[in-house]
Amino acid sequence: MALPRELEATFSPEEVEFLAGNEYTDIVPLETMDQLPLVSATIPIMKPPRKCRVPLWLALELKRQHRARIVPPEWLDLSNLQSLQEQEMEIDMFSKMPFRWLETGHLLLKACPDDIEDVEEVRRILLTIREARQSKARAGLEAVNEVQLALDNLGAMEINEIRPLFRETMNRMRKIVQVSEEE
Amino acid sequence: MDWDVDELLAEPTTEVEQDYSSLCRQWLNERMAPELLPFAEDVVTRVTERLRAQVETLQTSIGTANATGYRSVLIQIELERIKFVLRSYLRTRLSKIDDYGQYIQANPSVLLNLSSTERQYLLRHQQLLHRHYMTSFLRELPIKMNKLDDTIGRTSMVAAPDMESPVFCMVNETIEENLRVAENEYVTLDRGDILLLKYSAIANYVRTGAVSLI
Repeated sequence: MALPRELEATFSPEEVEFLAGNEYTDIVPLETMDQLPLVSATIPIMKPPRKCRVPLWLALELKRQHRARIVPPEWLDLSNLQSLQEQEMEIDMFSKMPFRWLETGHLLLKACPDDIEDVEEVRRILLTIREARQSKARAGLEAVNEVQLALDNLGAMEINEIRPLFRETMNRMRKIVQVSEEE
Repeated sequence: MDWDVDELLAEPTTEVEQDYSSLCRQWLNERMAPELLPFAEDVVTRVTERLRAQVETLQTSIGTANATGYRSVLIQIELERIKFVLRSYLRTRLSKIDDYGQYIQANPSVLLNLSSTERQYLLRHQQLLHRHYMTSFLRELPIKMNKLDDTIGRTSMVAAPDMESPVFCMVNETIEENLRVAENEYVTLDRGDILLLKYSAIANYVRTGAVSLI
């Protein structure tokens, strides 16, 4: 009761997005602002047009208020994504995407498409990568045994998605093995 | 291209940032772990204190110039974020205390993981529950059958956390020895690895911070 049942087994997507909000990102402030001491960090003085490093949640809020532009992270660049996409298509394993790529990409595409170069192409590529990885995750279900599974390079949101199914599968396999060992 | 792992696992620099980062990690661990982890007393106390100080600053600044109006909004947004994490952390722990109350009371080593407030809550909650059950129906049962912690037979009445429950985890520091997960199966634990394993295999590493649950 203290914790809603749905949240016992996994996080809600909003919570995963919340965590992505903690990551630091660069912004270009459009107005000056004095140092802002917060509970979780001290936001440095903002003097346009000098770049400033702030948590993503703050960057999104400032962008919303037209007080800053967001500098997209290095990995969210067209040529980089194109090579990541190629990698993703070639290998069976998951290619090396930033841990919070899905939720961060989603937040940035929604909040500041005007700050991202070739945004439509970027959007398309992210979607392709997402679908490729989703089908790999589904195939990965076969590899689940009762003991362990390596899932290197899987993203936070992707893990959260498959968590209930994979955990339950592993649980059941564990019970089956247990029963068969007792016989 | 190791830039991502290093960035992801990079420690924040200031104490303020470290505390928040630590709080979030404790929250994640607590949510995903089947057992009740040690209460992060230090971190929670410091963060709560800073929260309180920030609220005071906010209230005193409400009277002053409007130019700072926007800053107050940002401060408030952040306060809500911190409170969210703190609340969820505490609620997760309460939920586990509710579920495993008897088990915790019966195991003093687990009892140590609770804060003093939680211990008081546990005691009163269990007393209330026990009294309620007693007056509702236990009284009517023969003495030999009205225990709540019967362990005769294969299953115990006391619900204990399932330590073999599978969890997703990320390795923060490379660990020398390979981890034994079954009779003849071992896994390597290298920094940045993501694994799905039974919780009992990495329980100790979660406590030291070498591995965190995701």
